[in-house]
Amino acid sequence: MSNTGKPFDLHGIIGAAIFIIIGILSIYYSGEFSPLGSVFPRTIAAAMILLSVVYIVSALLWRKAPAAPAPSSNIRRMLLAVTLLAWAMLLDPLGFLSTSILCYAAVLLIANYDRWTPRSSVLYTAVGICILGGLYGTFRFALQVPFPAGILL
Amino acid sequence: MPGIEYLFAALTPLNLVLAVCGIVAGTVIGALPGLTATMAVAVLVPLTFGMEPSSALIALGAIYTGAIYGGAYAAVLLNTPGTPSAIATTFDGYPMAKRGDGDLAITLSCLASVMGGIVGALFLLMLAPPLAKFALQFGPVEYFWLAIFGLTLISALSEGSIVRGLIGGCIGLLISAIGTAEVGGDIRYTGGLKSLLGGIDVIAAMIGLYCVPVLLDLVATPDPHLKLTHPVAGFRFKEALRISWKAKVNLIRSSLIGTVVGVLPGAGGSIASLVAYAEARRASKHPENFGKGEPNGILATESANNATVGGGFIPTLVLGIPGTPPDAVILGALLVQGIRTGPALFSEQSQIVYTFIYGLLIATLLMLPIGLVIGRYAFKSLVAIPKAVLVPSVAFLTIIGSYSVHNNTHETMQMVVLGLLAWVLGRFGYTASPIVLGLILGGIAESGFVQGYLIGNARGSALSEFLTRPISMAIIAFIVLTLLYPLLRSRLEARREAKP
Repeated sequence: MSNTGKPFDLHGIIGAAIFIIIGILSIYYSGEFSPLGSVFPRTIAAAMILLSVVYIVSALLWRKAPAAPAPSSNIRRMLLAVTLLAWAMLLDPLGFLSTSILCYAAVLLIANYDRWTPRSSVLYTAVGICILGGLYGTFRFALQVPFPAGILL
Repeated sequence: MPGIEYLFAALTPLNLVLAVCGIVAGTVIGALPGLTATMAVAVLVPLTFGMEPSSALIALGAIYTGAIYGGAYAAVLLNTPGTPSAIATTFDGYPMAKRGDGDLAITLSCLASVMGGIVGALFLLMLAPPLAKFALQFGPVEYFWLAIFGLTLISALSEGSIVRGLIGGCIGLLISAIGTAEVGGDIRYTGGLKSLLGGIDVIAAMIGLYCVPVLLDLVATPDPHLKLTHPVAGFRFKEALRISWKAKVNLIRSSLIGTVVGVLPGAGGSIASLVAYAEARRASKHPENFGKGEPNGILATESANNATVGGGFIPTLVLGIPGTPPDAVILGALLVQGIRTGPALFSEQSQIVYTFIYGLLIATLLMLPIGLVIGRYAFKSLVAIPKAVLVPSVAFLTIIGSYSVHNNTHETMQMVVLGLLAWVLGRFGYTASPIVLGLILGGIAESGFVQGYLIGNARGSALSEFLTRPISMAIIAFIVLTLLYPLLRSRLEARREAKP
């Protein structure tokens, strides 16, 4: 039963269309594999294309408005995403510990909504040192995980 | 039941100390996202080489069972399963924590884990040989269908539509195909990147897919991470006990499901907890509450995943085939100890094996007080931590956890990229759970599929190989039922409402 009064689930339809494209590309590139190596990804990609088509058709026939996301700060999200990417990329060149100290401080600044006071500054720094030092020490010395030293440590 | 002398042998002060230390170590390691039960056992196994075989087994069993329980902490408090077997615990655990019942959720997890662990250990004690024979009936095709069943279940249980869940499962399966193929050795979908030759690591991916979207949403609003509707004054043990007593059928059923699934080599706690969760929801008078913080959901998943510990030891000890990945590490430790697993183990080395099983039972019972105390402080600390400290600390855990999987930064990068992708997919309505399960089950599904395909072709028809074996037919019937059940249920309800 169609419900023409309601808007389409545009996000869902776009998502399904992207998966159709990914499925087609997966099948295309599986042509480079041996028959044994290609049979499984081809089958799964075909299933994904079929399911995506089913989703698009059902979203067009049975319209259901998606829930609107709650108001939130996308700038902080973007800053966090960039910091996490930088954290992962700088581990080898800068060193695990120094990168982690820098990025931990950056994420702390991004996540803080309260006004900075001398008390909170000292407290957050102390807690940060304990957490970073405790976890780094546990992994480095108790679990014998070799961390990259980089140029700084 | 085997003699009481083995029980006394398990109750020596050394064995009790080992059980307590094992439970504490396992719970703490399992609670940290990125450190799984397998890693907990693998990291601590060298400590047991100098011990008596039964004491070593008790220590390893305690670490294992503690780690499976510990996985619930992160699932409940951070919406990130500490171990893969706690994926389904996030469905109701996190909603409970968000509405202020995180302490109750942790206590329920502890009670359910103890119950599941006891049932699994009792089956190991009494029915190990016949259950191991049942496991041998499963061939590649059955494992393929079992993986598809797991994906169907999680698609049906996840938030949103089943079709979207199934698409998510396909994405997970395709991601699992990246890297060097297990069958055939092809290099697939790496885009020329050497770092992808080894494929996408499941643990790193799991941390990213679950943790990073939570972090991105945490920084986006000033709201507190978890609500606290009451002062944290106790364990809420009586309340949890009352809920558990009311749900005794669910607890027993889920524990049995966990034991049986644990017996199947490779299936593991993630499938067991999903099957138990689906069954709990199907049998519930209020299935609409599942996914919104229903205590029965936590009881089902946590009892089932801890029951896989005892269940998984059945094929490990009787057949020498590890039931779950941590069992494989324990099997290696047994070989170092000079113990030969096999059907004769229960008669020729009964002293070792029965002392271990009683030790596992005792360790599981000890998990109740230890788990309650650790759980209470974990909850109290997490609620008290300001967001400005919580977010960078969890971010550091994700970085260090993903790095330490294989001690290289490729996994860390994979974790971050997949996490950002998961947030975007979440905006399109695709949840992380089906993708993660697809990734976990991809290896089992592909090797089962390809082997079944080859065997079927050699016999003349691949299709009949996949569709006509009795156990396969039963699993396919369950898959069809899972897909059609929501439709059938709504039809039945509509008909019932239409009647005067």
